[in-house]
Amino acid sequence: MARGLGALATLGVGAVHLQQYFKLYSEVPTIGTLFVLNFAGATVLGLALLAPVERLAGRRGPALVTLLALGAIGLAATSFVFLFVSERTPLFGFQEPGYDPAGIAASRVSEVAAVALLGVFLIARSQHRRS
Amino acid sequence: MKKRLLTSGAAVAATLILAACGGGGGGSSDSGSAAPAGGGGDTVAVKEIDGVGDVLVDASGKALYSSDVEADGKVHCTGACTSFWEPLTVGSGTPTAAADAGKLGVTDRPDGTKQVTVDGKLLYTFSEDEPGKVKGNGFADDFDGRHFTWNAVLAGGGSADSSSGDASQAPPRNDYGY
Repeated sequence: MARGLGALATLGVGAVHLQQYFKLYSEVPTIGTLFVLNFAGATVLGLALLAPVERLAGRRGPALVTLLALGAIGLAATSFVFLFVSERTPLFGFQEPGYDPAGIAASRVSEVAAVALLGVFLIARSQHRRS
Repeated sequence: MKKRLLTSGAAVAATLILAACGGGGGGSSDSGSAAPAGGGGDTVAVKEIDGVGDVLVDASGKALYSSDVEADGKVHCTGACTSFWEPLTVGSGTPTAAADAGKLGVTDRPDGTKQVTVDGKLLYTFSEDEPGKVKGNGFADDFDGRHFTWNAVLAGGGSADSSSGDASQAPPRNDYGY
């Protein structure tokens, strides 16, 4: 459950970045490129987490799922931190003035949700293995 | 099973992409361009907006802004700046304005387009505005090492007070940069 919702939140992180790229940031050097890469990475990780990786990857499935979840958490957390920093000081030459408050809120919500849900998934899975 | 899975995945991805693209405004599109002369409303009109005053607007009703950096009449908002602040331009026609809008003019931009001015102020629309809203009043940002402060242009040549406008959307007044 947490894995599926976390995967959807990760897809949401990517979708928000792609939407903001087309809406505002496509002309901003580096930031625009990073937004597209964010979408690509989030889409790959989110879809992979939705897939039955354990069945498809066999023996290495569980380890792969862990890596995918950690990758998604890393991507979402990095996005959150980059936004936080760019609101306070220039990041890659760009300081975010808050052009689109709704977009910023959507980004924050999806990032926090992805980190929290996938974190819960990993913790629950490790506890289940121990017991 | 695998085929079904791939189809489902592709459907999810396609839906996300379509949803993401649907909200796009097309950063440097020509939505800030003025209507062709003689094609209907004035290039620059005047509209009373609550809490701000008689604001200059483009043919679609979007508020028009100028920046302190361009008080010298020279174009400094170029490149990424125009993703957020769209120059009000005219094609081959001559811009028209409401009687009380101010003295109309045209300035050549570096990209060859012609930007409309009122009383020497270069006019822009804000990408996050809708007709009847003034979300960009008092907005501050930085491009190419220049610090811009944007204010809605009022009829008669004045600028709106930075504290007026759509308070719910007003950005913090920090130093922003690009």
